[in-house]
Amino acid sequence: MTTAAKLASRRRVLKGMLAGSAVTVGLPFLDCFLNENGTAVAATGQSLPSIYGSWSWSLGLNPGQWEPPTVGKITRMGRETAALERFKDKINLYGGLSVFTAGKSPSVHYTGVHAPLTGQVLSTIDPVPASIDTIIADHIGASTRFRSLQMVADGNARLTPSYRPGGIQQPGEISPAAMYARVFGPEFIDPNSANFKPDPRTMARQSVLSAVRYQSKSLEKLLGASDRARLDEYFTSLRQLEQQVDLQLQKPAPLPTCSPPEPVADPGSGKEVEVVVATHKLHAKIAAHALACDQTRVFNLAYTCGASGVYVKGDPQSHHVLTHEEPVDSELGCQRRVAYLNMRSMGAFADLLEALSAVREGDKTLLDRALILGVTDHGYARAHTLDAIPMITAGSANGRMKTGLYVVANRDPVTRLSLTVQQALGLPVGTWGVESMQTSKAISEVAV
Amino acid sequence: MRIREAIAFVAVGGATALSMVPAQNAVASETRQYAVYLSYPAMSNEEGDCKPSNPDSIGILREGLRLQGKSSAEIEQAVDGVQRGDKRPDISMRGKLEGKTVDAYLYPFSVPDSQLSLVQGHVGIGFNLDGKDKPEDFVDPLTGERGVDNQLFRVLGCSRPWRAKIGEAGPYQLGKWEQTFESAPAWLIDISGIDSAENDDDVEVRVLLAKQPLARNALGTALAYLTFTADPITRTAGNVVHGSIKNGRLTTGKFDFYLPSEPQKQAEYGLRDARMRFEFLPDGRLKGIVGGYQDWRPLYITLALRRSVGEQSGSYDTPGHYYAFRKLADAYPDPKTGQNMYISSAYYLEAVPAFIAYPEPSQQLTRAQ
Amino acid sequence: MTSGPHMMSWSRVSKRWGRAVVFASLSAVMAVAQLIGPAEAQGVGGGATVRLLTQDEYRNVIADVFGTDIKLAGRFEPDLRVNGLIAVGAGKAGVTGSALEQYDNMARAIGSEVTDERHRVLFVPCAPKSIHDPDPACAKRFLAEMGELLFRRPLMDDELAYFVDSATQTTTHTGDFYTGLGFGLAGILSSPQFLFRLEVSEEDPAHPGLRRLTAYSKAERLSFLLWNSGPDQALLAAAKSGALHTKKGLDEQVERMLASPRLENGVRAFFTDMLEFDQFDTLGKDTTLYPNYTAEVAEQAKEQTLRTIVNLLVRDRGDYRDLFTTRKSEMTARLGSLYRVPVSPRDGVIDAWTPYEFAPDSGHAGIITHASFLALHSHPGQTSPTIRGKALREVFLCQKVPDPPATVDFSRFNEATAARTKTVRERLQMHSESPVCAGCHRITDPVGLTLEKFDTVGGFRAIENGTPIDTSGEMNGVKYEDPVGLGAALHDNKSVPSCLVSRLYSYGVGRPPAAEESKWLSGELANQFAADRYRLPALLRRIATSDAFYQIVPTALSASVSSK
Repeated sequence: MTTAAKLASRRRVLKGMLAGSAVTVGLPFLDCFLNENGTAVAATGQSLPSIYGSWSWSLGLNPGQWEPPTVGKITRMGRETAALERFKDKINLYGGLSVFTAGKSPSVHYTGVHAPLTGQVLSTIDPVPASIDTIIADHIGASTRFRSLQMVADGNARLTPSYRPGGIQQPGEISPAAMYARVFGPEFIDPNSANFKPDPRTMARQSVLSAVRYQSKSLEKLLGASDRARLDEYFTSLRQLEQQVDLQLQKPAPLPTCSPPEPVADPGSGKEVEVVVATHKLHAKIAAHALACDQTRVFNLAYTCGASGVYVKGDPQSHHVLTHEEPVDSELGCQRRVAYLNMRSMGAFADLLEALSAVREGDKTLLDRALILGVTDHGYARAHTLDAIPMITAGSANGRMKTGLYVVANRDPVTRLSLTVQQALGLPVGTWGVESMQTSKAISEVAV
Repeated sequence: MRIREAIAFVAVGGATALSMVPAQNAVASETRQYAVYLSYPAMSNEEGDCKPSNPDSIGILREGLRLQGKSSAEIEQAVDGVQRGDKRPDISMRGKLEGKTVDAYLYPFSVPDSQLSLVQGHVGIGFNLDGKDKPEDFVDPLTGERGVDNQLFRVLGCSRPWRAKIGEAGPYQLGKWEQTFESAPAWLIDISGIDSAENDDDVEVRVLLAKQPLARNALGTALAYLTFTADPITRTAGNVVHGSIKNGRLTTGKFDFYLPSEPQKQAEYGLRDARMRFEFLPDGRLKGIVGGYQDWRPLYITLALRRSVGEQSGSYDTPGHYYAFRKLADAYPDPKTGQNMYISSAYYLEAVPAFIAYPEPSQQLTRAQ
Repeated sequence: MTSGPHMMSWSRVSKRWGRAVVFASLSAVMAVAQLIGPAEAQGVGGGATVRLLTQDEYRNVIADVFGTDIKLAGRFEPDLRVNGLIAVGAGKAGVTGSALEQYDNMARAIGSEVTDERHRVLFVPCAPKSIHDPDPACAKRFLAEMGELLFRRPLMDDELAYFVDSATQTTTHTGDFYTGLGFGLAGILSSPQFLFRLEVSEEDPAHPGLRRLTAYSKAERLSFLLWNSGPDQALLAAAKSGALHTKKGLDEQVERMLASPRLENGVRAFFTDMLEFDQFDTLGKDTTLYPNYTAEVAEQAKEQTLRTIVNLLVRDRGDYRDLFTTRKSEMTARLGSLYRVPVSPRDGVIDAWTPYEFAPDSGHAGIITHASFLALHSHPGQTSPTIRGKALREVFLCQKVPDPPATVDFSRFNEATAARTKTVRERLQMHSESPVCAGCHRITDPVGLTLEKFDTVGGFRAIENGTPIDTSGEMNGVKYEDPVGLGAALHDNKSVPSCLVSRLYSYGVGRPPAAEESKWLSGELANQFAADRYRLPALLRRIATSDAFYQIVPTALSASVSSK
């Protein structure tokens, strides 16, 4: 059977009668199967869609303790990045990227992480523009069930750095069990399941949601500008919900790499480091499966937010308190207990990469078509510096970024990396950021 | 409600040691109150101290089936089944009395004495109850006392459910106390008249029952500083004794001790000629021993109540223990038969700080009510 | 054909251009009016707000309309706190995609349960002609009744028509009338008119050039302030009849609501917001160090403070300032284990509440020495005098303590010094010596250090590292030796009652006060609060019957909502 015939036979359209109405069961335009080389490709011959993830952690890394010994190809990791050793060919580490405040008053544990994600120098009282994950989601995530997924591991839902336009924050889901129920609960349609029977109630949902939309449209006329923006946000969300419901009426194309995970239980709550690490691991697992099943193509996973109250059980001082109060260990050259918790942060990132790498797609993994941007709030947490903030990327967005490199910029703005990331994902952006954070230079060492 | 206020010393471990200042008025004496969260027979086992080892659950099953007249093949088949996860066969009807097959738990003497191994050594915890130093007595390594009477240890110390190192509980008591944590009315200890926690020649110790069970804290262990309402049942009214504190260790005089209990744990705790000793631990808990002579029949009944499943899963050969209790009982002989009806014993008590609320006298119920 | 009062002025203008002309002239009048100048044209009032229902408001409205056994099968996004209040944050919160998914889940579950066999007899006022076929007339009756309570105003004809239509379509698809009703109801529950408190304004005949909330919006503001829920039938009727626009009608409703036991709900809701109790949800303590802090104990700590407040301010009609000095409270035996004090279990139950008074020498005085305040503003494993001091100033004095500066020089805090300090007071001393840090630490630390005899879960301790804890401090020039003295200082501090006045008003209007409002709040209203001997129900009465609370003064900055 020729490829064309294969395609034709797959593009069959079923007309069925569903409680008196016709329902079209079609296939989305993007099918996927392996080509002759065993590489997973789409029906159109294109590679599988790219994925973007924002990952954030608090309190940076101790300067001098995380950097690989030489610039260029990574041969060895630093002490605090040791957990990433086995992924050294898949990640890039960036030194020398900074936030230039240009006279503005930054907020501690806030400005540093928001700068690369929004392109602006923000303090806690400034309105926040759309964040990079939202911008990318609007570009690459418009056709999936979820435009993006937000998760947070340390319980700080309202500090998750993910914003829609108009300053609407998207709080992260704190519970992996709830995340699981949302993505893989009763409304999940397994693309590989042989029986697909659209629920008649789904059509009812469609009619109800459009009724909601129509009858409330006129409200906009009643409102002032800023409230109109919030109502717009509501309508955007309503459209997304309608799209989700529409997708439930279409049988999705089979995805060989999609398998819903087993239900998960929350490992507990609070900021004890083992609990936060375990929560993060479960979130990463659910995210990986959600991505493999094309439920979304964008996610925002926060390991720790804000000043990070993570603590080791039995130690009265939390991570943040330690960064300010723990004396520097003369033997180690840095704060010992802080270093331990920094290593746990990097260990968590490794857990995320592990979860993404576990999804094999032909001779590659999910990580290969993903691009993860890892950001933190300070270069040296003890002094709240915004210089040389460590940054990480992982994955190559389907080969659109070089990996395995340690790049040291010459005191450039962090937005250079944000720009590079967006370009690697195919966004038509030449300049990004505002004022002192504006840049049009991608990081050439990693650009393809 | 008349409440006896308690102020307890608590030192929190870690970088900063914090403690509470005792009552402002140094002349007034202090009261310390506790709720018991665990009690277990005082053991002092060491590796290999019971030779030969008493039969384990399979051994007990084999012997039970043999007494029931099963063939070797049947026995092996049953053993295989149990090891693969089948239900344990009921071996209760294995006694022979006047030619009839009878329940071995109701009539333990209908089964031959299996001659259980008993603890042979001379290191044991407890008190010298009779004032004598006899060959079967122990030396208590914690106090140095000689002539310590604890025949209960000899009987239970070679059985798996109770074996433990000094100051530790065996699996049986741990399991039973955990099981009854939320249901059993708590035991309370009230120590009053403390002028000095280091040296004081007269304090009063009272042991009583609470109306409420224990509550759990965030770690799942007993919540400290909870207030319990004292249950004024008459049978605990006699649990009052005076003691003295020397170098931080409290020891009491003689009294008759009684606390009701859940049958799963132990039918009752009734000790004659009892004495107690306690230590105030740095983390605020109380740990100590109560020792005395107790009627061994309720002890036997505690085992017998668990019948065939208990005997096998607990590996403790019920009729064998009957014989052991009979043999080692060492006090209060029956005037007609001369058989000692009481056995010397010692039990650990571990408790967390608590408060006790005593009901008004008018609210106390008499036994008749 | 029902139409709300806010429709009346427009129904007479039939042509669209006619409306435009009227609207334009209105705007012109307003613009001119603002140029004319002060008091009369300005008025005391502010913008109308559009507030997302908070979690509790949502739950309360559902419970009021459908009873408490209807389950909420979804999750809420965490409430947003702005300017110290969730009530103000509600005016900024949006509905994200994931939030709407959850609202939709809840809406469908409620719709399905309300119309199931058990419940339909309670809520559906009519029977369909056939259970398998649409019955628009009955659907309309049900949806109009439910809709009015849920939208907090009667539905407009076109709104109702859409919901009835979707109910009809659903019945057609599924073959079941009640399923159709359930989905129609679900539509109402997913609509912005339910999820948001959309305040609508109209011209104010009493103050030409200014606007006022429509009767239904007045009812909504009043009802959420006093009872933390949507307007009940009686209040809706007073709105419908126009009584709420009269002094007599408004007074009547306010008195009725102040006299009701439901006032307690409103007071609890306000203080739960002001005291930031929602943060207990994500508060954790290190159980290795503080095993007596369990989830139940935390709930009881919150409840203790709320009961103390309700007892003093509502039940006893007491002086608000006494909240900072009173030793009277309530306790359970279980909560007593956190404080390490004996509390006789009432009726033998360790979780039963019983009146309790802290002993005079216990060091406890007022709600700042309650475990709820002390535990909420501390780290998992240790206290933070700075955080406690900051919280005390921000929550009770309405003072804003700035964020720490980004440029902090830690070289002063070198290793040798760290080893020498024994107490947290000594360590914090360094902050008040450095000019960069002193500005804030001098106002937070002396307050927070006074509370150092209470550990991170609120338990008492007298010694740190072998040194007795020094609890002396100073606030705005007033010196004290211990928390009792701090409580007395708060009692006498003028900012404390004026902060309450401003906070309560903000809570009611859902935004920070406008300039003219602030003048009124800190001037006339604060004086009246004092004259009323600082009694909260009196303050609520003054706010709820004031012109300002319902006056909409359109400004360039605030969102103005105009009626059609």
